[in-house]
Formats: sequence, C-alpha cells, structure tokens
Amino acid sequence: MLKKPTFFFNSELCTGCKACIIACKDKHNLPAGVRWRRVLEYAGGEWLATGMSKTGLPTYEQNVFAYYISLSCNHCENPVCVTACPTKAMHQDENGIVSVDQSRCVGCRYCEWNCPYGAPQFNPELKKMSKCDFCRDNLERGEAPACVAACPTRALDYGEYEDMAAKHGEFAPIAPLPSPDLTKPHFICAPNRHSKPQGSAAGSRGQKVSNPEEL
Amino acid sequence: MEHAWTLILFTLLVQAAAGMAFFSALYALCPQKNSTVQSAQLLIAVILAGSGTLLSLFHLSDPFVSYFAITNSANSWLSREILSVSALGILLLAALIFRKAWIVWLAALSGIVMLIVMSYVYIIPTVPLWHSPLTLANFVTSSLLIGAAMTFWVRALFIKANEDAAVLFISPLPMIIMALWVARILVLTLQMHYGAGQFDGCFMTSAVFLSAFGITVGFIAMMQRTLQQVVKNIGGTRCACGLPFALRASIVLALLWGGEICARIAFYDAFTMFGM
Repeated sequence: MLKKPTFFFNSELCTGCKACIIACKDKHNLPAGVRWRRVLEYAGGEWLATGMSKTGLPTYEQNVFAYYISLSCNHCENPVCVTACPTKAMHQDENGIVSVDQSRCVGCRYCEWNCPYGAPQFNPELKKMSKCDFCRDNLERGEAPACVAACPTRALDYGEYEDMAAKHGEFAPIAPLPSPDLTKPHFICAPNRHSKPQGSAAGSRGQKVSNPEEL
Repeated sequence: MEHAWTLILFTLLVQAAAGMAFFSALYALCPQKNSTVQSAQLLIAVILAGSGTLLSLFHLSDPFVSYFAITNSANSWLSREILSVSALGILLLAALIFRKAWIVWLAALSGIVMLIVMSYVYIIPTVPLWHSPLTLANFVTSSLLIGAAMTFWVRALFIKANEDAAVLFISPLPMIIMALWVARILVLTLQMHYGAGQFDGCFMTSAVFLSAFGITVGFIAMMQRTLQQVVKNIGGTRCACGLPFALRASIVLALLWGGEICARIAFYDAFTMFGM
C-alpha cells in the first residue's frame, strides 16, 4: 500500500468528458448530488478591439480560454478536515488515506466548510459525510482507482507522492485551485498551456468556474 | 447556506446569554442592586443558553452520537466551542442557584472565552468574508448589544412608578445600547466590505454596503430618541403616547433582535467557497 497516495492530473489531456466522475459514482453507488470527484471548467477571456481594417471594419483579438481540472480528495499532508472534525470521525490512516468513520459522524458538515477542495460530501441517504477513499479496496488488490482506470485520455494517474513528483514534476498550482500551502495536498497537476496562475483574478470579470452547478 | 437557521439561532441565543452574563457581572458591583432583578437576569440568560444549545442539536443529521463532539478538543475549534458553551451554561446556572457575585463574574469570563472560541470556528480560510478578526468583532458587538438590550428589558419589567432609575442601574443602558448599535453597524459594514472586496473586488458592492450604513445611521437616530424618551419617562412609567415603560422597552428589544437576526442571516449567506 502507498504511504502518500497521490493523484496526478494532466490538464493538457483532459477533455472534460467526466468519465472519471461516472466511474466513481458507479463503483461507490453514490446518490444524486454526491460527487467524490468533480470536474471544474475554468474559462474566461474576452474579445478586444485592436483598431480598424483597411475596409473600415473594426478588428479584434481574443484571449478566450477554457480548461478542465478533475479533482477529488487530495489526502493532504495537513488535512484540515481531520483537524476540524469535532468527533474524530474524519481521520487519516497509516496509509495516508483520509476517510470518514460514519459511526462517529454527527453530520455537522464542518469538514465540508474547511476543505478548500470540496472533498467531503454530505450523503443525504446515509445522513453522514462521505468522501473519496482512494478506492482503498482496489489499491489492496494492486488495481488503480476507478477514476484513473476510466480516464480515456490517460489524464489521471496515481502513485506515491515522491514517485509522481519525480515523474511529472512538483505541483503547479493553477487557478482556480487554492494555494497548496493551506493543506499540502498530495496532488500534482500538470498545467494546461492556457492555465492561469493560482490566485490570479479569481472571480473577476472574464475568469470564473463556468460550471458551479456541477460541483 | 443549507440548514443555517438552527446555527443562526444557536449563535445568537448563546451570544445573548454571554452578553447578559457580562452585564449581570457589572450589576453585581452596584451597591444598591436588587437581588430579584439579578436572579431574573440570570434565569433568562440560562434559558437563552439552554435553548440555543438545544437548537444546535437540530443542525446535526445524527444528534444521537453528538457525545463524540467533544473528543477532538485538542485540535478542533468546534469541539472547544461545545465545551465553552457548556461551561457558560453551567456557570450561569450555578450563579442563579448560589447567588454569589464571584460565580457571576466567572460566568462573564467564560462568556468572553466562548465568544473568542466561537469566532475561531468561523475564521476559516475557505470563507473569505469570515476569515478576519472582524468576525470576532462581529460576535462581541452582537453579544454586548443583545445582552445590554435584554438587561434593559428585564429591568424595565421590574421598575415601579416614580422609582429612582439608579436603583436598577437602568439610566446608562440606553446610551450603552446606542453606542453598541453604532459599533455594530460599523463592524458589519466593514466586514461586508472586506468580504466583498476579497471575493470580487467590486466597487459597486462596497458602495451598496456603505449606503446601507448611511441609512441605518438615520434609523439609529430615531432609536436613540425613543430610548431617551423611555428613560425620561421612568418616573411616570408612561410617555405622552400612553404606552407603559415595559412595553416600550419590549418594542426596542424586538427591533434589535430583528436586526440581529437579519445581520446573522447575511453573515451565513456569505458562505461562498473561494475560487471554486
């Protein structure tokens, strides 16, 4: 088993098909509204008038962009959900996997407030918090997590943090992801050529998460 | 934000209890204090703290395992909040039963600790509007304002015709309430401006909040006149409009509670995850 289970995501390859979401929901039988994996579409840009053509018509340049980020729990080095949980239901085991002991969970949703990645999700059928557990059962059989196995473009990968960093480089925080200093996520994201730096004008005109209803 | 009503009422009720503990502690210093009035104040504070705590259980999807919620007090501010609210309730009850001034002061101190701990529950980086010391200022001013207003109301219930206002130490309260109201509006405006500025940097949003501040200043001036008339007419217990003193104090209290509920709704509605 891994000690620092890490997801790698290549933003350059992701087409936003959301097969990763469906595979996760299918494997874990998640009800509607519970998404252990989410795909953000970050888009922006505008058309800028640059002058007039010889024929007297206005000319424009555009800097419109869009890219996807597939995100689940990052099983962080400093999991704020574990620190915040009053009942110790949220805990991190010796394999670095952060999971919920639902027998202790009171459903206060404080972990949901604290997680900057939206990983803990309230399951209305169980009336408890739930979250990605890195497909622990698959890992024990030496198999990949369902989301990684389902990705048609191989945008997702997994492994030990040091191995992923050596293979793909360190985490390049890009917008709209929060600063990795908050929780030290075990997540490495290869940037897209249109990627905007983390914290750059998030929420301002022209750049925003364009599918908030799906998150 | 889903299921916020129970949290809105829980935070307001226990903060009101902490505010009443503070003013009860000050009243305990008065040489001419009325022990019946003090007991009434403490009883109402206990009812506020108890009902607030009961309401908080309705926020949980599984309250039957809520006893686990104090097990992570080493790390979780929420665990510490539960312990501090419990301490406040127990000390208020002890002050009511044993009627010792030092227990009242201990309850007031635990109320201050509870306000600080409760603030840290909300000062989290994922909610920009909450993530500043203004949250502590918000909770402290709310607690003191409602505590002062509740104390004013309780004493108004006991005042008799032509009674010296100093006996119940009621004269300073209107000015204290007005000063706290102004401080409250300032803190709320600053916090909304701070949160709006962090989230989208929109000047218009800030301008709207500053305009709201201007409007509420006018409301404050009207309230101040009402409260001054209330105190001036203590001797006769009725003002020119014929309303009893206690009823006027009740109206002031109802208006303040309404304002506090609206402010707390706005606080919880600011729950917007940054960047995502």
